[in-house]
Amino acid sequence: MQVFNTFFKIVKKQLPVTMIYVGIFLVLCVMMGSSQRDGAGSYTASSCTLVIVDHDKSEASGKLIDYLSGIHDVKYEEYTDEQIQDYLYYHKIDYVLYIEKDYGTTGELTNVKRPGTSVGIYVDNQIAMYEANMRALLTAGYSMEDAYALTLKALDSDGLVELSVGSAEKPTIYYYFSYVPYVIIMIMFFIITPVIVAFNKKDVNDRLNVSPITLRSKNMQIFLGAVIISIFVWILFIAMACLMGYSDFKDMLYKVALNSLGFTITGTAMATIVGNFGVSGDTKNIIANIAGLALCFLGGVFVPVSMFSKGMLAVAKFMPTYWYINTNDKIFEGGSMDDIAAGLGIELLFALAFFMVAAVVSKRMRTARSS
Amino acid sequence: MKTFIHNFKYTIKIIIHNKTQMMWSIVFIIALGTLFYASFGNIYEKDEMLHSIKAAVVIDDGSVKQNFDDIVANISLDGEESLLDITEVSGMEEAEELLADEKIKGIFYSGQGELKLIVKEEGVEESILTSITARYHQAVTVAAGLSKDAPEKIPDAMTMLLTGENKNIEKKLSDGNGDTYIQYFYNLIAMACLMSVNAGIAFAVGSQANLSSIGARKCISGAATLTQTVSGLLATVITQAICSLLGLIYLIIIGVDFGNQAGYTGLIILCGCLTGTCLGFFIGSIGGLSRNAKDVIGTAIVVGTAFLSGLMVGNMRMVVEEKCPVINKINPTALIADSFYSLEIYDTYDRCFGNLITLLIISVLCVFGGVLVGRRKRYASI
Repeated sequence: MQVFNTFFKIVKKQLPVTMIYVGIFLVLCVMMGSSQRDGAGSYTASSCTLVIVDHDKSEASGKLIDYLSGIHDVKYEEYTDEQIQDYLYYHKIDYVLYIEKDYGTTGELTNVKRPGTSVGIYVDNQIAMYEANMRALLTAGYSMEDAYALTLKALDSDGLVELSVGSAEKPTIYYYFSYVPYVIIMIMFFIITPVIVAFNKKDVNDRLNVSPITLRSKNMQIFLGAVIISIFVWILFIAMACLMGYSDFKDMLYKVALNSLGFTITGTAMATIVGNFGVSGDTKNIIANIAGLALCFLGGVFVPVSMFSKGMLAVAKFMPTYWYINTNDKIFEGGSMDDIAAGLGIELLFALAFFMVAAVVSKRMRTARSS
Repeated sequence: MKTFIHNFKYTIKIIIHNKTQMMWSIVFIIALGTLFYASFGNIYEKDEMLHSIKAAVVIDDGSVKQNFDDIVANISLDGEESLLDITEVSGMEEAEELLADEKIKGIFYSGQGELKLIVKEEGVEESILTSITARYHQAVTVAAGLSKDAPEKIPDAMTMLLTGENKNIEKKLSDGNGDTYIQYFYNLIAMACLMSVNAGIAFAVGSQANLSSIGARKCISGAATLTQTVSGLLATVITQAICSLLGLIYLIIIGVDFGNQAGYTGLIILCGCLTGTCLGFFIGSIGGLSRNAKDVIGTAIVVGTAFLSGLMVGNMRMVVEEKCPVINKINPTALIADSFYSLEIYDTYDRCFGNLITLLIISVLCVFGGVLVGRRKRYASI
């Protein structure tokens, strides 16, 4: 087990640097998961984030605010134009409504929204329906109170709409596990790749070639070392998840653990391929970033695949990250072991394929070096 | 001046000699830019802008159908395109299949003399369909209410309900590109600029006698340290900016909208690469650290600032703005990305220049710090 021992000697030598990388990406993963808890920028169902600025402060404007706050999340802060532009752009707010002075008599309103978007037109529609209803009833002689009560009744769609599928809110830990692939890929590139590169250095390689150790034995020992490292990293991630919110996923612990372990092995295999090409230093950093970001964007880690076109979705299915996210979604939707077995199997097949590619690359590079 | 030019020329030669690193710097933008463009190049247009909503209609009741048709005829997008794109179906079974396959957003049907709706999930388009049902219900409820209290007012009230004047006027704050997803491209270029940290570290390490033979040669030369540092940094910044510019040109060719202010866009990239290189120079000049440790710090800064700027999680910039706004004011990646954003969105250049000035201040501080920690070194043995 000379190669196996040397593997860990190299890892030990790089341990301080390695631990810094693990620490950085662990923090990043926790931050990514936590950032989604605030839900900033996402609107759910028919509820949007509205900012209302009331310049009228009359009974009529109060009723309009009551109506809208019954449907939407309403903020009353007065922002500058620059802040409004930024908040609309980054989806922190969806619609700004200015109730103009004398609104009670003129009915004048001004709005700022993302032009032409569904959300903006949806809120426009609601305000228009409320306005038309109130005006019709007030003209017909109703008091403000009675007109408002009848308007609420008229615009209430309860019992008229059926939802064929319910949507459950996901716990924070779901987002933590969603971002794990990016962090795993990056960590594996930074830990495993330098060790493989060290083994492929000319002097080390030549020394190994004259020893009685076969190529197969060398590769198997490196493979074993890499798998042990990946299991260590994986345990760290699971431990961190347990610290963050064990109660949120204790019923599905073994499923998320299996899924993340499957992906950790896949990430290790990818790092092994790059290492066998002898890539190190700055180039390794850039390749790690390209691989990490590309696989995560394509696989639906950062942007949900539901937003992809059919063509892109077809491409996404060739990414291990897609199967990881797909399986993760199924787990948090209450899927059984049977539901997630296929995804898990595909992840491991990817790992197997990547390890085989790494072995081929290793052999080719060895032949190229000796010739 | 002659020494400056000589040193500038040879630093460029050293950088160009490292073809692999240069190639990957450009490939980083090209590969991820292509991927971003293919993945969500048109998501904003497809998902956020309102288009006709696909729905099926299975209404047996004649009067409900008549009223439904009247309402739909009165609602349109921009006065031309119909809000609803009705899919013909033979019955409820077929409609439910289409809904399950997400080929339609909802099914309108009649039940107990009322218009009803089935949707698959909750969302804005489903809510707009709901508002059509509510509009139908509104007319019926108001008419019923008035028939008890003031039946003579029903015709006027109905006219007001259906043809009310719109007094909710839209105000536009910007004529720029409001596509939120373009921020991913801004952040991508910003990260590419900041990756100059690696080149800065390499330059600083290459200037230290105990870490490289070129550094040893430089230390015993007669050229002033300041001349060597400034000319070397300038050469590094220019080569890095060229790589980033080539990547940007590629993005513009494939159709990413970076606005039409090429000069300012180039200036942002130049300032971004300057900050990245100077930051790298500072990290690389810290004496006690190994090359490996310097690379770790560089990577942590590049990835960490890109994350806080919103490359991985789109709304991260706003989360940071809420929790600790000062980070957005000093995060180089956020400053570069925000410069692209403000150039596109605002008519004035105040915010963009404010960001660039901050980048320049960070750069000057880094060079100053780098020179300070790296000066007057004596080696007993190399």
